[in-house]
Amino acid sequence: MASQRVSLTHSVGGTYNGHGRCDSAGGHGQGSVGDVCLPTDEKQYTVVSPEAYLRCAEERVLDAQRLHEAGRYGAAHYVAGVAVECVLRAYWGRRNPGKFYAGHALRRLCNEAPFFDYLPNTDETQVAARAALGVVEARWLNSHRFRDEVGLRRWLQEDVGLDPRVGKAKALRYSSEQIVEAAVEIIVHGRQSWRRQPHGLG
Amino acid sequence: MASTTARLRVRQLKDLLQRSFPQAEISDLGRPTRESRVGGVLVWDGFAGRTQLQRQQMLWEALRRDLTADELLDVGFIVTVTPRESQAVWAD
Repeated sequence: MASQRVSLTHSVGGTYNGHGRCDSAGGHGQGSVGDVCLPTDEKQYTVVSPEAYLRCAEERVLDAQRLHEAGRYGAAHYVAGVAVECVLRAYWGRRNPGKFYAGHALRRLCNEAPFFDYLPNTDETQVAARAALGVVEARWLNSHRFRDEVGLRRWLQEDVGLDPRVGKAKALRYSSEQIVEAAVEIIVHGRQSWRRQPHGLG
Repeated sequence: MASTTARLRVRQLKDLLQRSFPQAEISDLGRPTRESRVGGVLVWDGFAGRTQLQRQQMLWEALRRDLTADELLDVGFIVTVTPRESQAVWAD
């Protein structure tokens, strides 16, 4: 496959070695453009370890809760989605060591991880986790980081079709509560199932 | 962040959680890396019927009652689940 140059900048991850210190992630080889893994110049990015992504998911979901409590609903939306992206990247990274996933489409990332295969195969867990992902997916875009609260409210009303019973003034708060709640649910499932094998590999 | 603030003792946090959530099971409490904040899993029957946000609010209200502002900064994400949810992870 022909090498394709991409400019990706990411923070350095690390693998917890069980002895109280982190080793740098190292792994270079392939990165991705859009949602497809492609070879990249090894100097252009650093792979974040799955464990670092999982830790980041926990940090971001805590940040999202604080932002929501502080009434910073726009930022809470964005950060909640990032938390979910992090946990999905953690699972994807377990399957694809040394590779980087540059896309931000949560559903596709979830399917390719494959996140739900790692969760308990019970109706209760699968329904709850899938519903939570649906809530986040409907309310989140990576481009939300550039959206002010007026723009986000408009986007939610036009694209998500917020329940009209939720008044305009409360729309952002309502949606923020929904996405943060769903993000916590997904991170909890991701954290709890981290040591599991995917279905069928028991 | 954790390195510039008061280092919370894991034992101190565990005692606090046990006082605030009677009969709770507390597992994996610690720092995933030396520089991380303290996180873990809090399994408590009283979380049943509450949303994740409500559980997290209960948890952080308890933490805020007993910890200083610096110590609070040293607390990371604590998973809040019921015993049934905790057991479900290995149920299938």
